[in-house]
Amino acid sequence: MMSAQRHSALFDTYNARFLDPRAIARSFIMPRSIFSLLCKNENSLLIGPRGSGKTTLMKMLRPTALRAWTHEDKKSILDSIIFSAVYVASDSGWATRMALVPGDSTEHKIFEILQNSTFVTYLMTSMLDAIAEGASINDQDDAPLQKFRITLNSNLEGELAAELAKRWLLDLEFSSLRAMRLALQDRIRAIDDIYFQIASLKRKLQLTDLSDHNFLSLDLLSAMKSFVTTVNELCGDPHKTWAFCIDELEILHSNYEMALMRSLRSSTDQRLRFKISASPFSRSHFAPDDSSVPMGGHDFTPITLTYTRKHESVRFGRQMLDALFFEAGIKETPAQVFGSSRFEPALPHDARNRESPYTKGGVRYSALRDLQANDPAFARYLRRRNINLDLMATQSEQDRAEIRKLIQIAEIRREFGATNILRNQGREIPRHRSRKRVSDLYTGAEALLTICDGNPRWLIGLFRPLIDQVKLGQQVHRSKQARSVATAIARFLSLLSTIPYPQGRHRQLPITKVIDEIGEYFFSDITDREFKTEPALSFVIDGRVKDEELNAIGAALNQGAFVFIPSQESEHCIGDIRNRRFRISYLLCPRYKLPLLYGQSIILSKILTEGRVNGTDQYTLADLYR
Amino acid sequence: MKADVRKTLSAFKAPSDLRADQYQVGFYAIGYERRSRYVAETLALNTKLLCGLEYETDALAIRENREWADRARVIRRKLDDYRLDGSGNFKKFVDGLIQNNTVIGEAKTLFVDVSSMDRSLIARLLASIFSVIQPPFNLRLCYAPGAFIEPQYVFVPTRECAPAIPELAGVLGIHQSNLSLLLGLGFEYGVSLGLLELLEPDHAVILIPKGTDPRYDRAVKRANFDYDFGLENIRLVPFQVNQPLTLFESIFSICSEATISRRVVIAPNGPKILAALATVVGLFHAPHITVLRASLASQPSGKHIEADGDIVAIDFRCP
Repeated sequence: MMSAQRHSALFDTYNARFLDPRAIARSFIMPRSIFSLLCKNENSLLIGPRGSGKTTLMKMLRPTALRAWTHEDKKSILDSIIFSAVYVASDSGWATRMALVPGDSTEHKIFEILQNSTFVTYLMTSMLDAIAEGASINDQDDAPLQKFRITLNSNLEGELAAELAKRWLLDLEFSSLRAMRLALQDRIRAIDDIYFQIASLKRKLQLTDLSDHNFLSLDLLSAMKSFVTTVNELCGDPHKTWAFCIDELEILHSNYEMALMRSLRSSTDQRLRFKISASPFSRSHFAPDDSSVPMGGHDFTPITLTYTRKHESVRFGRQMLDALFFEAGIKETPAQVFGSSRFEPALPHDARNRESPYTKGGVRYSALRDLQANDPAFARYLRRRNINLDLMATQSEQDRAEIRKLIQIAEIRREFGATNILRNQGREIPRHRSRKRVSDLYTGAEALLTICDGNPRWLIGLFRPLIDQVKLGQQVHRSKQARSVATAIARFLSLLSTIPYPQGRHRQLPITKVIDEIGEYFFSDITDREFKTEPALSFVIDGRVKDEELNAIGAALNQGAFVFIPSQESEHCIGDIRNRRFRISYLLCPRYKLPLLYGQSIILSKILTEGRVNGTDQYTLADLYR
Repeated sequence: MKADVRKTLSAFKAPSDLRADQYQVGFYAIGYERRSRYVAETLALNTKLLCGLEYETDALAIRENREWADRARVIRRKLDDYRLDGSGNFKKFVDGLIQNNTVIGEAKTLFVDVSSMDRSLIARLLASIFSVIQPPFNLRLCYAPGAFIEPQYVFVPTRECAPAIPELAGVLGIHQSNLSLLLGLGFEYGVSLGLLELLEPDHAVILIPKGTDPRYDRAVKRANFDYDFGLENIRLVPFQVNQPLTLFESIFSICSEATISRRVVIAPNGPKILAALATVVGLFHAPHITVLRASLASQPSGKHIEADGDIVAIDFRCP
């Protein structure tokens, strides 16, 4: 047997689903502003794509995790939390089963009921876990943890179990929490039995046959409320607040997805809080005139785990990278190991002459001069704006702001623009247009951190193989960094390629064809005949995009292919993505030779109409960076 | 199906061994691959009744496969709704064929050629046979590997990912129970990654097929990014396509151990012999193991797939 390579990980084991909260706490890198918001005594909606750290954040609210956590800010964070968390993981077991039967069949309706009942049963198990966590806190624990404590003696446990069992329709042989757990396992088996009766054709079931199973009528909110009332009253703390942390909302059946979203608005019970994590796109969303729509900022606090501003994602990424360096015993800084990036607005002074990069002979000056000499559009732009490159070195940072803003665009045009051509025997061959090579532009600590887009899973996947090389004493040259980026992109695209995008009535293309189209469009706008300081680098999903196309784009968004750009600080993206603005994930920008910016926006249907989404081409390994 | 099939296994590799026996019923698929009739052709003279399960397609070699079936007096059955078999008609059909061509109390010898069957058909057919057949019997699973053609290395969208048949959905398990995934490798790297993403197993065994043609092995490795899935919690387990007995024992023992404390999902992408053996393991452990089928939005490649001349087989006997 071969052993799996430990490195080259994009989708690493940085998957908190199966990790014990204590293990999560030991490696938790706190995104301070986000976690602080989540800890507030408010309903919260945590929005982010796969790998963005939703599960980690949700599990960190559990008393067991908070107890195991060591951080200088632990006390202040603990002081801010006034609720006890009930962590509820969703389960994908039913997602695959539902695909077996037609949506309009009786079996499908029965499966829906069983799916919902499974979730309610899992919720009940989670509530018992929460009691156990509270009961595990003792006198030795720090004072701030004592508020999560539940003191149980055998009498109280028996009373609690008997009361909850009555409300949750459980038959207990003994009144204990353990007996309740076993009864809940029996309930899951009962649900499975109904499923397998249908699956094995032992019995043709009708909806009315389900009335034999009373527990199927138990609903989510009633189960929560009965728990809170019973526990609070029996434990002598009638006003205790419980936060139900529902992870991965999108895995649930749409009825429950909507019910939980509504609960963000309708809950007037001050003992109940909801912390819900979800992907940005959902097929089920509220109608525009639905008065039960919860309002972000009013009914709940939206917390987005993707970053509009680069410096925020880079700051969080740097924290994670520092932790990875520390874990690996590397004493140098990331900039020392990976070098600087040509995209950095404030490039460090030239190491050789210690002078500003904007002085004659400096890196930045030379690059801009070179572009001015070879790119008439850029030269025209400089003339029009009265910018004299020779004066840059003597200008203040404020006066140089305009130049700093266009550096990435200029670097892209210089590297990949029409003027960068190889003249050979009368032929002109554009340089560096192959998608298969990642340019050095995207290497260096800052650029690498930027393209990870603040996604922990990507960050670990990209950096860990490089760190392994550093640990072996090897230099991590730009070419190695570029290869690591190329591998990460290839793997991400191969995953995205499984998402079908409708093409006509019967054909389906990989969504990657559409992403290619968008990327190519943006690239052509940057390298246009006119030099644009604000080219189109983002798109708005307009009304002309059909529902099936929207579903495919939404699925790619949930995987992290696109990043939402709010028009104002308070805007968030959940459910419906029409009329929202997005950019391509920075991880994919090296493929399309794009700057790590989001520029102007353009409507998506314009790109797709003008573009050339090719219905005959297939997506092959040769299209990737291998 | 709770017979101890494991103790009664024996393996056959070469077609000459297979022709030494007589079969009352042989099942195979009439598909668009040329190899779909290879086993049936090889064993036609030894088989009392051949049953061709026919796909609705016009692609590639389907016509010549139909014509051969007619010449060989094959019972042709058009396929519809076999995955769910909500009416039970498929099972009744299989039952009828077996009852009408065998004698109660006497040993029954059947073969099933899975080479050109999809994973749902393999599962439905095997589930039906095991639910109707009475011992003593010998069920021989056959597989004709395709002659190597350089794959196109295309990335195709996934239409759906669901249990091969409803009976193989696996149990739900206790809340947040750990999950082991046995993932067979084909040429669809993105699909494998997608399954790892969807199921988020805390432990995965990646089953890597090894053929007799080194070009095939190189192609599988290339298509799967040198087996780099970017995960630490995986174990790469190569298997020889022409050694089904070893493969079966390997899957069986992994699953037997894992099902004690975890949920087990098998996604048998890659050679159909793996899918067939995974199905048998799934049926044996039913309802505890999930056997998944990822349905792709792919079209036939346009190239004929011939058999490479070998037939691998494994017997499931119950005395």
